[in-house]
Amino acid sequence: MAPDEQIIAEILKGEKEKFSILVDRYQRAIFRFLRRMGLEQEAAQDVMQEAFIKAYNKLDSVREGGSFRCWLYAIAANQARNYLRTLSRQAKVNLDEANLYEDRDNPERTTEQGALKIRVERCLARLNDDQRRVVILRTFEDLSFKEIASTCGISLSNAKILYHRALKKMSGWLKIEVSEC
Amino acid sequence: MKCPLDEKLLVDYLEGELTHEEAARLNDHLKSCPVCREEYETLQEAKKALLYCKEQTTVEEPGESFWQESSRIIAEATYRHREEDSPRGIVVLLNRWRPLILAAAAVLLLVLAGTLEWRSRSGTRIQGLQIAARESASNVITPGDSLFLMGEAVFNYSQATNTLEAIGELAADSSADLPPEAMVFPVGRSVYESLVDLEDQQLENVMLALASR
Repeated sequence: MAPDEQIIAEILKGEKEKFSILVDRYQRAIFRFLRRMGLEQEAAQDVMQEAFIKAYNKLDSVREGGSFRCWLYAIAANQARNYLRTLSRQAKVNLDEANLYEDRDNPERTTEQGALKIRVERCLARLNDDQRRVVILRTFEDLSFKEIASTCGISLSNAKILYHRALKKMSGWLKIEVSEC
Repeated sequence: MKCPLDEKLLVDYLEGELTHEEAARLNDHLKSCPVCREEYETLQEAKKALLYCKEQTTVEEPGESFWQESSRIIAEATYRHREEDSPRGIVVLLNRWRPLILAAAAVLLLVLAGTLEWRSRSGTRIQGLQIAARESASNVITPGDSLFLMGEAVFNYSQATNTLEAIGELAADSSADLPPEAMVFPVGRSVYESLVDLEDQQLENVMLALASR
């Protein structure tokens, strides 16, 4: 499998159709990431396509030695943020919480494991945007802290601090929820 | 009591990013420092819950046909020549040139609004609108400027089914007492408050409606 850097170099030299390799390689991951960031399925599909189009149009700005994957996640994250900003406050609440709070009929609630999963998702939704992004990129997308720092445009140190604080908050919320059950 | 240990070290330990020697040293520290031990256990609990959630969660993905269609749409919007006869190709093209289309449409709408105003009021008004349109045209290449915002507002407001009403309202909202330069901002607050995102199909319909006038 050719590395991203090689494919990008070939695209920039004129073999433009090779962009499809990058699309096939990453579109599912970007879609999953956008869904976890709180976008509904249809919105995630649209934002993902926009992210790839934007990436293609700015492909020559990928830094030499930089990671295309991180750069793509960064574009997708920005597109998602812009999208969420355009929603009304109520719509955003729906995105963040509707499926998490209004789930009394969800069969998953009937099992302890299902209830834990729902509690974790609810805690994730309560994190601020920066913390949630770092936690999702680290836990669900398996990015290294260095990659997360690059993706989010923050320092390595800051990425770890955000992660630390997010986990600490989540742990506290999870304890409270368990005690209330 | 607070331990001076760098909290980032706990993250590194939790994520297995310390060397064997560093991990051994930190492990020794945790045995002797209840503050750090409690902090570490707190992080560990959240991490464990997250990993469990990850194992249990599968994001519902669209079927294979979606990915093929998605690849095709991206290809048409990027490296592949657009398909002239494809309705989807038109949408992709419209999206790609959206800022310029919006700006051009704003100028067009200004002229149309001016025509309506001219028909319904005195003949002097059209001159001001023409000046405003010329001033707007000079700003076409500046994204984010007032022209772009106005154009976007007009587009958002002008749903495909009520384009003409929107144009009429714009003309009605405009004050005859305003100087020509103020006509760059003819959109009332109510228009902005009414903004809704246009779907591709609506955008296409609006463009076709405008083009046919």
